[in-house]
Amino acid sequence: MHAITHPLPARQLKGDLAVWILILSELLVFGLFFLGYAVAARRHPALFEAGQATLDTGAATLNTLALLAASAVVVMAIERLERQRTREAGRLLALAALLGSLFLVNKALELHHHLALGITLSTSLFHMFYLGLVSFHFMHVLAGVIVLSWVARRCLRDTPPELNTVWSAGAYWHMVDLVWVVLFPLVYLL
Amino acid sequence: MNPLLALGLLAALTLLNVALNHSGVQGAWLIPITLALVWAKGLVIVEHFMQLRVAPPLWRGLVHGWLLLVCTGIAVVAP
Amino acid sequence: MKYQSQKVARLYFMAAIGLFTGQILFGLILGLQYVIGDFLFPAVPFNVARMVHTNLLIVWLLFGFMGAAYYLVPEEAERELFSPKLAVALFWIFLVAGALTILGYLLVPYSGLARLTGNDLLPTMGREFLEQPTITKLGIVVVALGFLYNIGMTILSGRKTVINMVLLTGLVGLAVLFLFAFYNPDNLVKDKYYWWWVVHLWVEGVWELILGSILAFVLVKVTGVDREVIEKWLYVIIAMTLITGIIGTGHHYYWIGTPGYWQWLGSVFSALEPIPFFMMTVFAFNMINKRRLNHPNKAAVLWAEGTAVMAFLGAGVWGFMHTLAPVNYYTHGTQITAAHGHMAFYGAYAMIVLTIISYAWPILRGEKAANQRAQVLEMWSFWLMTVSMVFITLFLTGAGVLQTWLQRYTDDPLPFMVVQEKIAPFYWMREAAGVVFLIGLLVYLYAFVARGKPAEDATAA
Repeated sequence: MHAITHPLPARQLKGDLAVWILILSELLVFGLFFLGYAVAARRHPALFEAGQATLDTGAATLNTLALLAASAVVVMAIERLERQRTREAGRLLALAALLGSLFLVNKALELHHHLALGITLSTSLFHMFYLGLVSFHFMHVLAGVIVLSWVARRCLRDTPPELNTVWSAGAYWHMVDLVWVVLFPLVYLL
Repeated sequence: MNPLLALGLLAALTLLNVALNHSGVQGAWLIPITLALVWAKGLVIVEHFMQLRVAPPLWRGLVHGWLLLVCTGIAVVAP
Repeated sequence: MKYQSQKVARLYFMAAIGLFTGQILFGLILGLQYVIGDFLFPAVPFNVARMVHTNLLIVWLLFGFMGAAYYLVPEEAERELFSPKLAVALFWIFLVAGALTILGYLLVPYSGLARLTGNDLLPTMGREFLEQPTITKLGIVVVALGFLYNIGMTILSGRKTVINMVLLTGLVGLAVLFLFAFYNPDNLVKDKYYWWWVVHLWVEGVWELILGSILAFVLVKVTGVDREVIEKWLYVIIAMTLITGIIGTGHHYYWIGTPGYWQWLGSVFSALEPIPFFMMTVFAFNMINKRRLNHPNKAAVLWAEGTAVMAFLGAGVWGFMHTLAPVNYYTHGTQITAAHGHMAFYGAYAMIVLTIISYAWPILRGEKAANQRAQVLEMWSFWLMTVSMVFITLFLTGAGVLQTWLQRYTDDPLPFMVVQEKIAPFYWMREAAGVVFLIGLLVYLYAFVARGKPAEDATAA
């Protein structure tokens, strides 16, 4: 009889509604930017091809892997947290923040390289898009790393935030990852 | 899906995409294939990382819609 | 009312409503001058009426924001205001300076006013919305600094809530960005570039933080929903406001001599500026649906709902209509801009000030809500003003679309004045809607009379 009283697990948005609206909005911002890039690249193929040739695909590939790994580790951390294994979750979240920082360092070096060559937003339409997109995404990774570090610290001190908050943080981080998964081939490969 | 398995899949798809675009092969199919791979990666992230497979259909639809729109949009617009 | 010092808010609210009335009267004069060009000429020329109309708006909103801060900061910080005396002194300084400035506009020719106030020592006059004499601008800075000191000391030594911190951030931003009003480069491009740092970053940046925090405060009070829930929304809304609003400044940088990339950046980011306003609508209605109590002040709830909807329509939808560079190429500076300006300022900023006044005024008089009759009157005034503002916006939009078509888009464009003649019917209808707005305002003012004697005085006697 007991089994009957247990309802099926209801469909649930993991995380806060407000944060999910933020995520959707951010996706919209990036989405518009991506389509803008594609339109501009179509109108100036030679310019974009030449610009793309100056980018370091190897470093960007490494960065992609770092972000993806961080995302997977966040998922593992949340699984631990759901089973009250708080410290373990904290260590995994710290690892995720570290992987995110790796991305930041690598990207900062890449941006420094370009800026040192005297490249600015005004250099060309390609550079406007490249610098605009990459630095805008950079800010998001930075925000994500700060949030992950904060959650990790709370977990390591055995005072984790509410599960809903951690879900929200995780969802935000995955959004940053999702955006990069589109950005990377668009800017570096195509 | 186990997160490590998902990571392995995502990493493999990423490397495949890089290899494909740097192998020097040319063809009208290159861009659609690249974006199809991107879409597949996005699916894994949306469903298994963001946990939208257990979310209400509206939210699931919105994020999937975004992914599909962006991927097809780029594929159509790109030369 | 929990803290005696909250009472200084009353002065500020009274001044705000007084100046609001003045703004509407000049709006009606101005609207008539669109169709009867020499109406009240030479006593009140068009350019002077326009300056008075817009300057009164800014000043009354500032009074409203300050009043809101003096009301809600002590309550949030859970302590008396740092210095109520300073608040009263600054009030009179600001009011006298504001009144003298408006009289200066009306009585002295503008160039004479510039000479009289020593504009050549530090030239800052002559820019739209920032027409105030340099000395008035310095006065504004002094008032703002004193105000921030007073509010800041209260917040820092009291309970720190998200609402208070967001409000303080918005107010500090407001003061800091105003400093660009003193930067007046000779290069016309740079001049405009930094001018927008005041104008745009005010209304599409820091003012939104002020709006968000006041709305959150009222919602906490009238819905009884957990503060944590409301604060989370506030965080997300301000994050989105800043993400879209700061780079969104670019939508003012199309073809004015700034780098071409602004057409892309401005279009993309400002296209998303409706999002924080949309979130505010979802937020307000979500909280009201989840309410844990039925607050007796129904009028305040109505104003809060109205703000959330009208801000989204006016600032969000009407802003989006002409924000993309290819569209703005044709619509720039037409009546579309005026349509957007009217509904955005009313829907976002006028209405939020009226919301906090509606909520706070009865409490400042020692009662929880106004009596039934006064509330019904206030709600009538809400509908009269809001609906007539919708019509003002629609008529101006009609005028703007026709103007864009005839003067800019068609194969053989007509001259400006010829087009003005053709869109005159829209101007007449706008003026009629403006009269209804004034009637709504009169009902609003009468609702204050209908409240009767304050409960507090009654108990004191």
